[in-house]
Formats: sequence, structure tokens, C-alpha cells
Amino acid sequence: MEEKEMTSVTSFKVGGEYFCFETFKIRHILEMTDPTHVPLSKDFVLGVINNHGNMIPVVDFRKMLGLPTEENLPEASIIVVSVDGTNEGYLGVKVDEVDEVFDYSEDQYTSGVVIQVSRLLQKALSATLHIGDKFIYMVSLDELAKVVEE
Amino acid sequence: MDQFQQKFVEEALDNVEQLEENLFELEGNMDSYDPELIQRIFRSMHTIKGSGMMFGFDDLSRFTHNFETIYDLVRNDKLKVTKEIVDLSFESLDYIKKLLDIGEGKLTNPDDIAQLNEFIARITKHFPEGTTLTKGKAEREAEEKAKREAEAAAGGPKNYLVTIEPMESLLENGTNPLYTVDDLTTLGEWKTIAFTDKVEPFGEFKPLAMRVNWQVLLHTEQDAVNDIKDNFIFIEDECKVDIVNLPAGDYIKNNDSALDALVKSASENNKPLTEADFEQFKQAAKAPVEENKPTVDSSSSNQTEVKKAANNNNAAPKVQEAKIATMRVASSKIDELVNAVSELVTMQAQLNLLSEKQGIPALQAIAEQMEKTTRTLRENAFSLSLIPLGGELVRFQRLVRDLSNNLHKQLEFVVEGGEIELDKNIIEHLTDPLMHMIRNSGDHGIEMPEERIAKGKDPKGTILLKAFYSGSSVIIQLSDDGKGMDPSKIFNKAVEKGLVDPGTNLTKKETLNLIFASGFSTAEKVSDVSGRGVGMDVVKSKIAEIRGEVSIDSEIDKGTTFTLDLPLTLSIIDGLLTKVNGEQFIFPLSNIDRVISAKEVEFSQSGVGNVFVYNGQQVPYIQLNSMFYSKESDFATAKIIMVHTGEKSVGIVVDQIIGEYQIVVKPLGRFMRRIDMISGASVMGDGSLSLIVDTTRLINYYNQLRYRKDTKEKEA
Repeated sequence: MEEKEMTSVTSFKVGGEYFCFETFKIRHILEMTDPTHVPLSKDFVLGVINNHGNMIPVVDFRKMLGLPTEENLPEASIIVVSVDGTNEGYLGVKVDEVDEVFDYSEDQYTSGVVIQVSRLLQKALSATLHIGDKFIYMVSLDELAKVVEE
Repeated sequence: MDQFQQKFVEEALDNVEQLEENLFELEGNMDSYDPELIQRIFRSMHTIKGSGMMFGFDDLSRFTHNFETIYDLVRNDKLKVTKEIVDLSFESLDYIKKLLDIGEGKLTNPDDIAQLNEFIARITKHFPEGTTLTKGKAEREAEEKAKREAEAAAGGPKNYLVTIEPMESLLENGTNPLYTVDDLTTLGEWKTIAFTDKVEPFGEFKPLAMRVNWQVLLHTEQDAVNDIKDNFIFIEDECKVDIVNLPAGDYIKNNDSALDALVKSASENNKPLTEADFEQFKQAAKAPVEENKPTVDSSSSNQTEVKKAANNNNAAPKVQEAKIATMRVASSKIDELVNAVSELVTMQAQLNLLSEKQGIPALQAIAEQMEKTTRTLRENAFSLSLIPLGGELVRFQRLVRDLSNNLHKQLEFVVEGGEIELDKNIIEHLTDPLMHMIRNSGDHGIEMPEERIAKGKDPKGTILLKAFYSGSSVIIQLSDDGKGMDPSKIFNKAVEKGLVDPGTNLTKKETLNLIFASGFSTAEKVSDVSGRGVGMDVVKSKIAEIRGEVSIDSEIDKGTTFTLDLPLTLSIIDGLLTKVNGEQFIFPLSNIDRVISAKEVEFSQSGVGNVFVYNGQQVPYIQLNSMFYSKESDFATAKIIMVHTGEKSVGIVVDQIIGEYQIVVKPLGRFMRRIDMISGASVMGDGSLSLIVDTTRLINYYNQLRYRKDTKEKEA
């Protein structure tokens, strides 16, 4: 049998839907803490947190999807990703709940799916994975970074 | 590239830099011959060549060999230093840099190889007729081999006495002399003697100081002088090696008892053997073994050296201290250290807070002591990342030299205050802007010599770089004595580019500042030297990145001066902690003039917007509450921070002043870059974060907002 190319991703839940990041881009998964708000930032930017002396901006994935804020989320976490591999490019993403880490192969991957979830993230959500009975939206970090930086 | 090659490249670049400095010196005193200077130049090149060969940079070493030959000829009075030779040398330096750049050090592209050969031909052209030094390595090797073979055919078995006296610093380079001795013994039958008398007693033992000398007795089947010499190629500078031919015979091979006695006595008395000790074997061991007292023999100077060493051995052992004045450290290590110390400073603040709360005297005492130590540590760690500006300026010296040649102008670059030290991160950010400004001065500022003479100026134009401390910042002034900038020309240009309205009334300073606007370039034609599309706006933003400011002053026909106002260090500042709407904000103390109570002054509306009157002056103000949170400040309790930007004062209204703090600046990273009036954040003693306000940018932002509001109102 032919060896299949496997890629590891980490999935998380926001607003009842599943999303995932490539695992190798994830640096930390932190418990939710209150970020320090930065004035004049975009509405989905919660602020910055201090992680071992590094300042990490945190965005609210819920808000980016256009969902209402939910106060009672006991499993809420911040996934810290490195977009460009440097400390400068650290970004924290607040999610409702971190789900699991798993490998997928290419035949479970569908690209070019148009998702009507969020206009803001339309480019960032460009593919889905079909794992068991779950549909998982793959989040492109480069596109996500563009949305935050714009 | 492996780590050794990397280290070689690093060191070679150091040598190139040194070489560059020396060449400048040479160029300055071309008429007077300074043998020491030539020797220094030769030495640098020789090192590059030698170590280049060792690490496989063959093309580099072949090239440098020819380059070096020129200075060998000069040193031997066979060639005179001319301008062509100096020019060629500078060009060669650039080429060496290029060769160092190509990873494994070997040229593969045929064009590159042709270029190398052509360059070498250009160098060898300068050699006088009949120079024999110009032979390439391959030729020399072939010649030596032929010579060796001829000798070997004639020679037959040989005996050698090799005396090795390493310098004390040998071990510091990681060389293991035992390997060298070991390699020698592969050449034939051998005997070694180690002289350990100079090794310190155990208590004073310095593991890094090389204090052992060796003598190796070798019996080879044929002439092996070159093979022996080859063994020492890499350590010839750190090791004195003396090779003496011994009388023929099989006494080493057969482990002769007389020889045994000789070796034994030498090693017991720590007295190195000399050629004279072997006289007995010449006479085929006629006489019984003599006491080997040193015999006077001045046939060779090497011989006397050995003897001197022998005499020294008899004197009381002298321990020479090996002091290392400077050390190379990877800059990433210093960055790590500084980061760790920054963390420590933050934790120290937390500890202080905790000990105050707990009220335990013993804990407080420790916290206080620790604070002192932390402060010392911090100061030391930060001073490590400071480097003198001067070292970085050599390349500008070079730039100006090339500029004079390319532009056919006479330019001189003068540096004052090169000893001023700056954070290395600041210096790194400074190179490009300075380069750009110097290019501009040379290209557009300074006139052609004829023009200068017509104006009654010295035909030689000067670009002066002056650095000095001013309060908590470093000022770098770059001035030229060229034609200066014409404000009306700048204004017209700006109008043409749509940067200002033709009707606008600007002061001279404001007009000059237009050159920092993006999309502005005064050069009428794009030249090779400047005007590559990047303009002064790039300079300004680069300087702003390191929290610096740049300003300009210019007089027509007198010249132009750029002034850079730079912070001493990027990572720690003195700040004033304030609160606005419950959030903490820090203002750098260096920008603050004073703090006043809002209730002491009268607020009013005037034509220029919101102002208050202070000391009879109308001062515009910014309410952070309304700007950040769309709220109104309570003027009964609010405080106003008076800051200056350029020559203007602006008041910033905050809710509450907490106090002065020394804070560690942490950048917010690329995702917060858009919000540029917040230049970073700092972790406070209680673990909370406060945001650092860049007042200059805050004021710019405020002005933009107002401008936008004004135009909207006008349109409406």
C-alpha cells in the first residue's frame, strides 16, 4: 500500500463548529486570562497578554466569526500560534474549547469550499476536513494574520 | 558551511576590516613609507590566505596570495605604492568579501572563475619583471615536490632534532599540540622528550596556559624537512619550531644506549638537547657518554635561540599572567542575557511589592539587597550590548571614498565622537539611514570642485559626522558644506507632487521637513548613487522604529545638517505611570516637561481647536479619555502632562498620576503595529500590563483626526 502524507492539526470549537490549526504552528495553549485592552484596536482584538515576558496580542475568534460574545465558557483557552516562526509573529486566538490533536491524510481534505460563516474570515477558511461525522474548518494562519494586521 | 568555516569567515571579515583601516592609513600617507604599516597589511592578508587554505577556501587563498605578493614586493622595496595599487587593493578587498560570501569557498561558475583569473592577471601586471614570487600554489608545490624528490634521491636516511616551543596561548585556539607531536612520529622512528619544568605548581595551575615544550628525535628513510614543516603549518604563528639535521646513523632507529642516556638526562634535567650533544654519534660513539654540558656553538641563530631557552630554564620559573582584554561573544547570547535580566527586573518589582505587603523585616531586607544586586546586574548586562559607534563608521569612510571616485568630487569624511556607545540594536538600525544620508550629501549636497572654487569654497567638500550625548539621548549630526537646500525649490516640488496645497504658508523649517514626506525626491535626475526610489521618508521611518527623531536644517550655499536624536537604549526607559479610564499608561519621562492639575488652568475653544492657557500661552491639549474611550475627563481631578514635540508644547489630559517607574519596554509585535501611538507594553510589579505611549505619534494622530474633522466640516 502507498504511504500517505499525514499532517497533524489541532482542532477547537467555537460556537458549536469545529476549526483547526496546523499543529506545528502552535506554540502554547493557555488558560483564558484577561488581556490588557489596547485602545483604538479592532473590535475583535481583546488586547495583549504577558507570556514569559513576551507580549502577545489576543483575538477573539468568536467575534471574528460574527458570533455574539458568550460569558460562560469554562473551557475557553488561548491558542498561541507563531505565524511567521518568529517571536514578533506570535498571536493568541481565544477559542471556546480546545478539542484534539490528530493526523489527517489528503483524501479527507476538500479545498475550495465556500463557507458562509463569516465575511471577515472568508479567505482564512478555505478548506474543510471530513473526519468521521465531523466537518472541520481548516484555518489558514497567513490569511488570519492578514485580517488582524490590515 | 560548517561551524569552523563560519568562524573562519567571521575572523576573516575582521581581518578585512582591519585591512580596510590600514589601507586608508596607507592612502593618507602614500609618500612616506611606513614599514610597520606595510607589515600590518601583509600580515592581515597572510592570515586570510593561510586560514582560507585550511578551511577549503582555495579560490580565496589563491587570490589573496597574489594580492599579498604586491605587499611583499613593497616590503622588499621592489615596488612603490601608487594610487593604482591602493585602488586595486580596495577593489581586491571587495572581491575578498565576495569570495568569503560564497558558502563553501569554491567558485563553480566558469564566468566567476574567469573573473577571478582576470582579476589575478590585473594584479600580477603590477609585479616588476623577473619577480619569482608570483608563482601559484600549484606551481610552487610541484617545484617543491621536485626539489624534495631530488633531495631524497641524494639523501638517504636522515636524523632530525625537532624542538617545539609553543606559545602560552596555543591552547586557547583549541589546538591540541599532542596531535602535532603524534603526527610527527608517523614520519619514521622516533623518540620524544617533554619539558614540563615551566608548568606551575598545582595550586597556581592554569589549565589554559601552554607551558610544555617538546623535542622529537626522528629517523626517516629520506629527507623529511618539508614533511616536518607541513605538520606545523596551522600553528606556525603560535609555536616556535626549530629543525636541526643530526649526524647520520641508525642510533635513533636502534634505540642506542648512548642516546637513551642522553634523552634521559635531558628530560630529567629539563635541559633541551642541542646539535652539539650529538657530536658523539658523528664519531661513531668512540668515546663513552659524556656529561652533556651545553657547548657553545653559534653556527646558526636558531641554535642560539634554543640555548637561550635552555638558559631560561635554569632561572627561577616565571609565571606569566595571561590576561585577556576582550572576548568575542555571540550577540544572540547577549540578547538572551538582556532578556533574562529584564525579566529579573520585573520579578524584582513583584518581590518588592510582596515584601511590603507582608511586612516581614527579614524579607524586606533581602528584597532591598536583591534590588541593589539586580540594579548592578541590569546596568552591566545593558552595557554589554553597547558598542562604540566608531567601529561601524569605517564602512562609511569607504563609502565616501567610493563616492568621490564615482562622482569625480573631492569628498572628505570626518568623524567626531566615534567613541560614543550605543545599543547594538540601535546601531544596526542606523546603518541604512546613515548610508542614505551620506550618499545624498555626497551626490546632491556637495558641489563639483570647479563649482566650489567659483563659490570661493575649498574644492574639497567635507561630510562631518558628529556624535554626542545629550541627556538620556545620543545626538548624531551629519552635516555637509555643500550647496544646501532651497526651500522654494522644495516647496514647488512638493506642490508638483501634490503633497501640499500651493496656497499653504509654511515656515522654512516646515518646508524643509517636506523632504521627509513619502513620494518626495529632490534629485532632478535619478543618479546611480542616490535616488534609488527610497527617499528621506524611509530614513525617517527607520529612525522612528528605534524611537528616534530626525530633523533637518539647511542654508543655501552653506550646507545641510541632519540631526538624529536617538535613545540610549531600547529596552529600559524611565516613565511616568498614569491611569486613564482605569487602564495604565506610561509616558516616557524624557518627553515630559511638567505635570499640572487641570483645575489650575482655564480651558477654552479657539480657532486652532481645544486649548488651555498656561503661563499666558495657549496650549493645545489631547484628552485620552475622549480619544481612546469616547468619554469626557473629570476636569476637577484630571492632571495634564505637558510634553514637547519639536518646539511645541502639548498637554495630555489623564485621570490620575501614579508615579515614576523604571520600566522594561516590550514590543507588541507586528499585529499591533498599526496602533503606532502605543510603542510597547511593560509588566508592572503586580503582574499587570501597562501600555507605553509614544507622545510624538500620539500628537501626529491627533492632528490627523482634527484635520479630517475640519475637512468634513468644511465639506458639510
